[in-house]
Amino acid sequence: MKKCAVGLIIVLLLALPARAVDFTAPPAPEGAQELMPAETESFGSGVWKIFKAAVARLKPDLSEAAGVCLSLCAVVLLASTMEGMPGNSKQVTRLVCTLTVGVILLEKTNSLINLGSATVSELSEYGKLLLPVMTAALAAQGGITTSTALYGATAALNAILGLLIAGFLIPLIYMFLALAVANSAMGEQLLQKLKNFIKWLITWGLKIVLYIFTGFMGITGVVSGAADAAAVKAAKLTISGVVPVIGSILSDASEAVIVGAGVVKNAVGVYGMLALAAVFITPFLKIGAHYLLLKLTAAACGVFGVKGASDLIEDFSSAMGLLLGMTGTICFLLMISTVCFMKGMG
Amino acid sequence: MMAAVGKYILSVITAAILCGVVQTIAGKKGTTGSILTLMAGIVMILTVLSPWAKIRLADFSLELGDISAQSDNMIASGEKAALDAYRAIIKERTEAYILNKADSFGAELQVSVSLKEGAQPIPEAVTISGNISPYAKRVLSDMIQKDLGIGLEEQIWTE
Repeated sequence: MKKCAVGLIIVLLLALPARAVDFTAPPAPEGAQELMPAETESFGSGVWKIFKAAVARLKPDLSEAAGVCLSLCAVVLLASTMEGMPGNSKQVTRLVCTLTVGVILLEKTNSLINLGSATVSELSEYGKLLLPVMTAALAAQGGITTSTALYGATAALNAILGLLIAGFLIPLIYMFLALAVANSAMGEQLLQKLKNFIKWLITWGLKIVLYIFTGFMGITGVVSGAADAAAVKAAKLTISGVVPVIGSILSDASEAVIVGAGVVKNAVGVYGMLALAAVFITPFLKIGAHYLLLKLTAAACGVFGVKGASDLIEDFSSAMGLLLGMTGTICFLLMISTVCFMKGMG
Repeated sequence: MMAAVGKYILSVITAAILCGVVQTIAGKKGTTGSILTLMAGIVMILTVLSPWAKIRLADFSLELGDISAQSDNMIASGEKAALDAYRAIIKERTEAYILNKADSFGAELQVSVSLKEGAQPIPEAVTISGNISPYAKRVLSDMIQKDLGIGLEEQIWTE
């Protein structure tokens, strides 16, 4: 009988709801909300649904990009024909071809650069809302040292990268394009080195930021996580040493809070990562489609023998690649940071 | 924005074409050719870098704020939420424990446990109301003192 009563008490204690610490993820930005799946429990299926929805919306952009590429092919084909005609100046033909290709691509490229820039700032702003919730949730779980270190690094790098991209890297892309057009128009390789230097600068700038960030996150995660886990374990041991029954209640309550906060933190993290993916996916696919189609067009135009125009199209596709790198970097940074928050304290 | 970008690209292309024309006319050999090549290079670099000259460092204000203070606030809110949940669970479970013990005596009681303030919310007092036999009351009272650490003087019994 006594055993039954004790068993009943234990069952009752365990059956009591683990009052979860209440944290909610910031809602996805307006444009991304249409892509958000109805259920956000599973990250894999959520990303797949977002991807499918974004691809379905990509059709008009693909036709537009294909139209641009066809007109580029037509211009280069015409230039190739003109160059072959007797009495036509090769230099003038090349100049006219370059300027036409530049005019065709510049407006579209500018709108894509603006899209990339807006995506970077939208991701950055969403990160500024998501990070505090993740920090508080991790702190509620006992990860005080980890959350301090992770928040400090992510908030600082998010702000620095946002400023770097908007104030420095985007203007550098414009400079890269100007040099590419000028280089192609002149027909000599005078500006080639400067152009290549700018490309190198952007690529390595982003790489260095990512190396520093991932390195710091990795080290912080291990060092602070171990310190927090030890502190929580020590606190639990102290608690369970109090008066037998109340010690057990305190220990169970502590465990329930930690588990509850962990569950909430993971749910917020998964929702946050899906929201980041929903913000990122449409611009990424749009810019990516233009990048691939321009690469294909450059390869096709190379066949016509107008090297300058083919190189210029290749340069525009490189600019799209750099833009993809920028938006990808900030999205990757925020995703890695969210994963680190989710992993902190297990 | 587009107008400014177009203007910049046009200025770079114009400068490139002009430099190319000048170099073609003057040739690259001889003193004049060398000087003109140098001048063309300088003009090109100045044209390419001209927008950067207008940028002032003051425009790039990094709005980091006080990250440390922000982080402290967030951590404090997280800790407070955790402590609130912790207190609620302890109160709920302690009351359930007392009620369960009372139930074994066939007594129907109302129990309200109050906890100590601070990071370690141990039960410090209990108010119990309802009908209970003197024997059961004594046993329950001893049990509360022994198992939960609430002294007899902190146990308030009402009818």
